Amino acid sequence: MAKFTDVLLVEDDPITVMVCDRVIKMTLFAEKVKSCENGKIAIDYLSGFEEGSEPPQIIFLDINMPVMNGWDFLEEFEKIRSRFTSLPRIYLLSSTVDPEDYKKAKNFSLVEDFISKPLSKEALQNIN
Amino acid sequence: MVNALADSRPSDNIPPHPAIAEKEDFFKLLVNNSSSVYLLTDAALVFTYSSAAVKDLLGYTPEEILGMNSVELVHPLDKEHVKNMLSASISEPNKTFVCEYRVRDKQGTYVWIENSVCNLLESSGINAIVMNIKNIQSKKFADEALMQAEQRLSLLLNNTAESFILLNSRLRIVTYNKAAQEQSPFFYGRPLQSAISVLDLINKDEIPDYLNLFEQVFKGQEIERESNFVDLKENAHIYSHTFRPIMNNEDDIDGVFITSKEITEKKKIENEQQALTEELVKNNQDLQQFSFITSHNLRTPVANLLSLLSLYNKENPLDEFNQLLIEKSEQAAQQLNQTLSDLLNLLVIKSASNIDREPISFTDVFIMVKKNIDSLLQQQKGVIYTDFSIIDQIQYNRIHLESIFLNMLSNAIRYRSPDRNPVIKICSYKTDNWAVVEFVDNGLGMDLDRYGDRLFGLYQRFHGNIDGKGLGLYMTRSQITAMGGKIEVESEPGVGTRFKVYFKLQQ
Repeated sequence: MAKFTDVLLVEDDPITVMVCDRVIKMTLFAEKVKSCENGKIAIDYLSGFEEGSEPPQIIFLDINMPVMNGWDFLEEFEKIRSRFTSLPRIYLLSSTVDPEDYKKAKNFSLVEDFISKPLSKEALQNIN
Repeated sequence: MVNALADSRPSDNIPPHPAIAEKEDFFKLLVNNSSSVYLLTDAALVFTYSSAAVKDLLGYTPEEILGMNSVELVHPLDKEHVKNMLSASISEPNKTFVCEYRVRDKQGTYVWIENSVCNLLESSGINAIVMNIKNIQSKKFADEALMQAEQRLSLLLNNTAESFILLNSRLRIVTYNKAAQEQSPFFYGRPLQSAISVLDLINKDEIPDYLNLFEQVFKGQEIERESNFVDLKENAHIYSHTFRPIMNNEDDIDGVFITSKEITEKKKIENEQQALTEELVKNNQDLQQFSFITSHNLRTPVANLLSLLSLYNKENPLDEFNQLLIEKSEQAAQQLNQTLSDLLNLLVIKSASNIDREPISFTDVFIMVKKNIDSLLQQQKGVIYTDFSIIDQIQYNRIHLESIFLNMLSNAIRYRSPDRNPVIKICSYKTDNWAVVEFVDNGLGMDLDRYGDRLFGLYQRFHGNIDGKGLGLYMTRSQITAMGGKIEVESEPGVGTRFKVYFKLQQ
């Protein structure tokens, strides 16, 4: 029995996607892993959810992506969050070392935490 | 008093009246104890009497003086002047003439004296020209010292570029120096004048502001101001003015001292330094950003390698999944290698501040670069129009310029619109100190409101599904800014993009 039903992974690097998918499934963190290769594709995907439905429980979000980056995604998500009955918990998954990114993350209440790449079993154990 | 002197004349035969004789003794006492010297001469201006004080003044005894001519001891330069005065006195009896001049004392030193002369030759009982002489040496010295001090002061005040204006407690002009007079027409549009109010010089709309300022000065504050004006040759000048309260002996403020000096040059240097500091701060921020981004981009493949290795099934090396992990590890290692070499290239561009410049033609560079993109262009049925007729040659680094052209052109083709064949127009022109090259395409275009600030950023990509590392425009911008230039962009989604590259023209 997995900890969560579904996880959305917003990440453009294919190796990272593969590794995360594997770790999430191996540790029985979630049953389903959906991945989107940038913020725009993720927003399009979430916009397809029906009014009053449940969003993915957990979103792992990369910051630096083409077309629509992690910050753009967070702003756009604000516009569509009302369609969901509950809100996802969002974890920024990044290799950033820029302190500005950490400050910026505090402006978004949906962001639970920063997780440094690579996504480890230990990091997943801390999410309950 | 004069009567008394008459008595000392040796030729007098009439015996004095006892009461008169008593009075005469009294006056004699007065005369001989006075610090002034009393002298009498005959009509030929020869001394016939001298009071005792002459010894103190000139070193001669009264006896030595008798028989000397009045002009004998006078300084040669003053002789004419003294003679004129004496002949005037002779022709106008009973009137007192006063004259200042130098006489030689017994030791040969000249002494300044003041002589009051009165012709009483016709007055009975006196029958002499009466002279009263005072030593004015110390007064003369004091006057001269004062005059010299004043001259030195005005020399100082009038030979400085700083202007001074002194106002009294009612803001009226008391005095000013030459520089103030010269600057006044620029500041006030009219010349300075003593006794007028300084408020009459100031523009009407500035008066409330100045009244406020003077109020503060009269509260004891020193105030500094700056002002600008443009001279007849249209050169801009900046002046700094200081308003200081002036205290009187009772420690009350009873005036204002205004000093003004030109600070145009100083300001210029200050502004240059500020611009330099801003540039340094900006460069520093750029470098910091560069280091953040490079660390980020190095961490990503390293993180991937670590994850892949952690997933490796060591117990069963033949696990099918292990094969995939090895493949992916190879990819991650290549990614790491690629990132490192990209960053190395960027560092070379960024650190090369002393790049060789040579005369270089846009046409030549274009022909060179076009060879590299020709097959891609033909494949996409694209066309390129160029016009370098206005300016074709600049001083630049050939490799950089080729790289800029290559990036601009390959971007224009790479981000073409799926709806039409690519058309690219390149032209050059001049503005101010810049040679500008414009690259206009009819491609996808971009939403600059959204991406504008990140467009030239490192590892920023804006199009999905198109192979790009987010290096091109960052490199292009680095190659431009490293040579003192800049790049601007205008774009409309679905219509196209216009890049303007500014190359600084060399003097």
